[in-house]
Amino acid sequence: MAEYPAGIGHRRRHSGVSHWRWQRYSAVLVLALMTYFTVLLASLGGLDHDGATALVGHPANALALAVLVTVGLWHGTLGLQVVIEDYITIKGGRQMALMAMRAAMAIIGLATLWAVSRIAL
Amino acid sequence: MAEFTLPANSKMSSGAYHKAPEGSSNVRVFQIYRWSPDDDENPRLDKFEVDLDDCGPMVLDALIKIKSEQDSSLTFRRSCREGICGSCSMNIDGTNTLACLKSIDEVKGEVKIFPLPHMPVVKDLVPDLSNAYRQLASIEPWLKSDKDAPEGEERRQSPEEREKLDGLWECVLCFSCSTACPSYWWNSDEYLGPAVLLQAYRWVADSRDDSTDERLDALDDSFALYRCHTIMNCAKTCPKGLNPGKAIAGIKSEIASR
Repeated sequence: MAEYPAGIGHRRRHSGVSHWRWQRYSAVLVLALMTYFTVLLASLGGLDHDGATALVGHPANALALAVLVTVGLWHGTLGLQVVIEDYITIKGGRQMALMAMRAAMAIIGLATLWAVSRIAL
Repeated sequence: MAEFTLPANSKMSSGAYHKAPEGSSNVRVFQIYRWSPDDDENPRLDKFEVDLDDCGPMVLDALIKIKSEQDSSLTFRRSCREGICGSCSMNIDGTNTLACLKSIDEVKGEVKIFPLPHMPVVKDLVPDLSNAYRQLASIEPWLKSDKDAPEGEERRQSPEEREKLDGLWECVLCFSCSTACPSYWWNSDEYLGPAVLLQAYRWVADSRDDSTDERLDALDDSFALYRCHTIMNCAKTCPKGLNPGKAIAGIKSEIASR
């Protein structure tokens, strides 16, 4: 069993307050952007392909979607980090899993942003 | 490597059945976890019939009666028998609590008693609390003041300052909360757990303590503090009715507002 560092003056391993703070800030942002996204999705209902791409490609909508994708995936990354840190205790495995998760999220983010930009530009 | 089999001593079998004396009028069965480090046996679940007409009202009374009259090798911690020392914490009827505060009448059917979960077992109902005590020592649970105490007087607090310690000072360190916390089960080597964090907040909230910043610096750790995900098993199980989750939220709030 690992020896717990003695004394309140021990050097902490890694501050947790910024992660905790950004989890909450990004949750509020995602909530607001998801509301906007739901309205956008509902308004696509009666449109054909050209109409739908025109609506999504509108600069304001495309920008909002890009922000939603970025903030949403960032929020997801912070959440998955907690899950991995909670449940993966194998030596070295935790860091590997974190790196793989972040890489996967970055790839998903870049692919989605590329798709949005293809429609918008 | 991942483990695909249960660790040693995880499989439990049924054990001995101890009958109540002839003529017993009000019999209840107690199922008690038994394990000894002195043999290579797996744990077993012994059953004891207890005559409640000849026994005190609490689960601890029944355990003491069983040890005195039926099996003197039954091992458990106990001292004050009134919820002050925190020694007799164990898992009764699926909930961590103090045996001395748990009435037998509250349990329906057979009374199942296990040691506190997810801790190494020393013997029978006695868990090894060494790690928890080390963690408690690490938060330096004593008053740290830059000033000498006034000559012949106590260090004074206003009634409002003193009120901030209510719900914190009553903790008897039974560790029922920590051992009910899934985050503590998975990461007890790094996460301090609700009992120790409640103690930490007890000193952060104390107006007489001058080490608040130093304490908060040490607590601002992604594992020591932020493994708490407000599951709230701690508050649900606390036999003293305290809320360690609220104390942990207090620490997070203090750190965030600096």
